[in-house]
Amino acid sequence: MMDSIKKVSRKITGALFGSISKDIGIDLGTANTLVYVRGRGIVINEPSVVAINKRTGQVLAIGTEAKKMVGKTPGHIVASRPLVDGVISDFEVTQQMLRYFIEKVHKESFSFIPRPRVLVGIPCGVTEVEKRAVIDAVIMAGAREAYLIDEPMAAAMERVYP
Amino acid sequence: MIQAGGNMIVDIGGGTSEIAVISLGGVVVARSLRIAGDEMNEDIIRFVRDEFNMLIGERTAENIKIAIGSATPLKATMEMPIRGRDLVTGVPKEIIINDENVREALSRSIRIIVNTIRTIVEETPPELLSDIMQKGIILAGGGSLIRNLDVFIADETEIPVCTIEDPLTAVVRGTGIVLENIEDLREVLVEMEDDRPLL
Repeated sequence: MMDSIKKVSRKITGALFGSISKDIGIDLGTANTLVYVRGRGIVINEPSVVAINKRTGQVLAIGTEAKKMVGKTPGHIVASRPLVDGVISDFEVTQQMLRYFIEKVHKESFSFIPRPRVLVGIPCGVTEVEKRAVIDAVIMAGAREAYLIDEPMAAAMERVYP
Repeated sequence: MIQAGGNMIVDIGGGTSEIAVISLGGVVVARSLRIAGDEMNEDIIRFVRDEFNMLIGERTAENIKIAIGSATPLKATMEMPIRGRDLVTGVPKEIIINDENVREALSRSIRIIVNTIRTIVEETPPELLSDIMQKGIILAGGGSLIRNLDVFIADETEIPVCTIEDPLTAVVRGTGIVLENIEDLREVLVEMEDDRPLL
């Protein structure tokens, strides 16, 4: 019963918000993260690197800025890649990185516009737990809803859907 | 509507290489390999250590791969100077590395990728294989920028290979196409095992 109510309400909000909220496509790669905004094209293309001050737990830099620090950091700063072999290895840091990218796109619009729906590419053959980790990270990073697509399917889209 | 017919995609990314045969919006056979760009950088670091007794960093290795990396011999020799630490004396030194060195360093990883493509070809149903023979293997991802990789894969598999335009952004452009045409393309989304409804 609750489930069907949930489904109906999702459908209504989906129809209502779908046209005004910004839907986002993300290629959450081990090396680079790219973000596509519906109607605007690719807006972010940055390395998947986060630099963190271990003493304070503060995020110092994300993306291009953080990549410049790799291999050059003092002991208390760690510039790390939160994804390993295509799947999330450090959940907390991945979520912070996604939040940064999603907010970068979202804050450029008016504040009353609903939070975006997000579509993320994942490698084939990842486990249910790894899929769930991606969905949770995206939701906690500020997405309204999260959906997944197989990366090879996404890569082939231009050819199979002309 | 999504076109009927098989397509084979080889997407060589940073952490994983994805090799998949898709048809009608679904994956038919697929493998995900943990050998991709990062592993190739490691290959170059190992090669330089063994051959030149020199330690280089990951970024240097990546720069080498991008600047002179290739899968089959090139028309003209390419070389570049690289700097690192001499493992014997412990002092910095500079050497010249050429495309043949890098090709040797990368050969193991490329061989594994090609062998996996062949395995997938063997597992592909024959009807789809005839589509793939006609349309060719689609090469995507940053790894596809390695010089002559398309030629090498085509030689080894006897299937034509075409690299997609701007291979680094192919996946995210694909998600864009799905978002713009979500009414049509709902079926390509991955379903979770719980009750989460589709977009």
